[in-house]
Amino acid sequence: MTSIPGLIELRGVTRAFTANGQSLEVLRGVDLLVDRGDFVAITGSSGAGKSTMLNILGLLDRPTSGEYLFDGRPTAALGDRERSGVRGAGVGFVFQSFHLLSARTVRENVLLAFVYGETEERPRSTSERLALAEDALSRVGLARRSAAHPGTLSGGERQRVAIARAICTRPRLLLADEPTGNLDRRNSDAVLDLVEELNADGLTVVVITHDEAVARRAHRHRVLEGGRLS
Amino acid sequence: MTAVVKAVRRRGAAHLGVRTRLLRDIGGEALASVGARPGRLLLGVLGTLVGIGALVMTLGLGQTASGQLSSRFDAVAATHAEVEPATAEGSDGTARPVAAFPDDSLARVTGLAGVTAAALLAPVDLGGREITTVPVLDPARAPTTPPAVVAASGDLLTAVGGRLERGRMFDRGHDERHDRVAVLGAEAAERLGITSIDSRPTVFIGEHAYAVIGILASSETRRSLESAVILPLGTARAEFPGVTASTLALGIALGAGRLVAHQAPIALAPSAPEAFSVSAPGEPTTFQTGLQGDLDLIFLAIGVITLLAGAVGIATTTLSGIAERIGEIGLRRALGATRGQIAGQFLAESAAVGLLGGLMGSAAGVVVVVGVSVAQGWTPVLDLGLAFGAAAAGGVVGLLAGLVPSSRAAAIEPADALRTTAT
Repeated sequence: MTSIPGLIELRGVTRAFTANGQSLEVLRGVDLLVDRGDFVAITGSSGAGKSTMLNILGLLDRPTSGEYLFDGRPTAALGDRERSGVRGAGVGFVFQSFHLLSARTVRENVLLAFVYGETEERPRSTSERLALAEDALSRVGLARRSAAHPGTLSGGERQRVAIARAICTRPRLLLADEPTGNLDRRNSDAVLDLVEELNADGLTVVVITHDEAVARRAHRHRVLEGGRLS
Repeated sequence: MTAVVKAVRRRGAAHLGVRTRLLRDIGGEALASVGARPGRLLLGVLGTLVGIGALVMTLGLGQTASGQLSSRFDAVAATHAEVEPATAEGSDGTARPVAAFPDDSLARVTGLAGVTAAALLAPVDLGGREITTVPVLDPARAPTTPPAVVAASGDLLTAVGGRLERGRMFDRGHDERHDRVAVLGAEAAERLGITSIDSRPTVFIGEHAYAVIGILASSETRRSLESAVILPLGTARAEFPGVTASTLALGIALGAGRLVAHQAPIALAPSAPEAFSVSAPGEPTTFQTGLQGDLDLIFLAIGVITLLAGAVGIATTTLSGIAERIGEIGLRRALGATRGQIAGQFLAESAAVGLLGGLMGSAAGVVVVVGVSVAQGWTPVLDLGLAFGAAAAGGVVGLLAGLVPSSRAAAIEPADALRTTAT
């Protein structure tokens, strides 16, 4: 596996929250470099700041101090529109709780990614979107369930739908927050096999987990404890 | 054209295409989200439906009722007319009639085509005399203003659209014999304490007794007669000096107004027809206008208040919907939605709910207006612009009601929103 340097980089990132008049520092001077094509697992105990770090990496939150570079670009000065644009076109999210819309079919849930994931450089037609969605669903082995509703799927299937939604727009970075947290071992293995396959195809992956078995699948394993990365 | 310009134009066209596509996508998302929650949709629609329905119904019924009143007043105006002498300013600055009705005025006009009845009316100056029901002069009694006395001849009831409550109207015989008889307007009779004519009541004008032979219930064109004591014109001329007819009331056939208006002045003064003018009865017009205005205002107020309640309903439903959809908001933000796009979607949802409620409410309002009109035997009157405008107003109300909820949805931090569990 060869890595091309510098897709995302954290430089001395801190994140503090204020509660009841007191400042609580969740991240304390975190440095992290994730190369293109890398597969990094970040583990840590509950409350260690894993989700806060993922939110910053996904441009869902801003560091209190320090610098975050996405694709070599400092993100501090980006406004809501630019950050949303980077998220839509460049980042795919997979959450522990799936975040599927229950009233929509599997295909419609995947197609949702195209609503906000379009760029001026590559606007897609409806037929292109459908083809990409079906392709993503085939990739996760759910092409035959595209007309089903999430409520009729198992936990593992729902997570595979979420992965299809995350990858259908061909993002550069896949951020997964406890992707196997709600799955049994068999479904966890299936999901991790899929993530490994995607990474093997060149997708950069960062997984936040407290499961050591998941971390072992990654190329690199970093531990977050007390707001510091080791 | 240079390659750079072409590139800029291509980029501009692509930008426009993506923006249009995005708007269409967000509109589609809004409709899909609205349709995905039938219960919530029903709640939101219900508020607007009731508000817009009430607005259309109240305004429609108001218009129909006004139309009904109008048609009644129009019917009065179409079948009655009044002739009065033209006036000129005298040396003292007061307006004085330039002509007097000839003695045979009634005969001259009743022969005209289209005239169904005619009556002369003359105000009577009592010269300080009182009107009582007992011939006792009580110097200690406080002075009161007596009812007006009006003298009339001809077919008064038909000419003024009058209706007797009791007794009869005096006739040509009473007029020619100068009989001391009187017909009391209902209000005048009540004021004088006369409720029945069975006991042959009498009113005294000064020292002369007049037998009350009838009580006038109402007059469509001259409501002032309802509070007057009406005497035969011949009697009044014999008893009171200077009684001069001021108005010739006419009953006319439907559609004959223009012809009568042209011929009556000629019949009364062939050499100077301009000395008389013909007009529709004036009293109801003012009454009608005032009544219509009052009705419209009341119905509009009811409709607007109900619509405001509907708007509050939409806002409340949308707000509680946002609380339930925080996880979805977080997901959309993670997928790349900007704050503006989140706000836009919730605004579009709110407007769609309002528009749907407006359409249904408008339709329901029209059905109620038509139903009530049919039940009452009225002609339904409803401005089509009102029906369509009300439906559109539902959309606008929905849009306005969605302003606060959509701004709240847009303000939700995606990281906070994603902590909410979803399917």
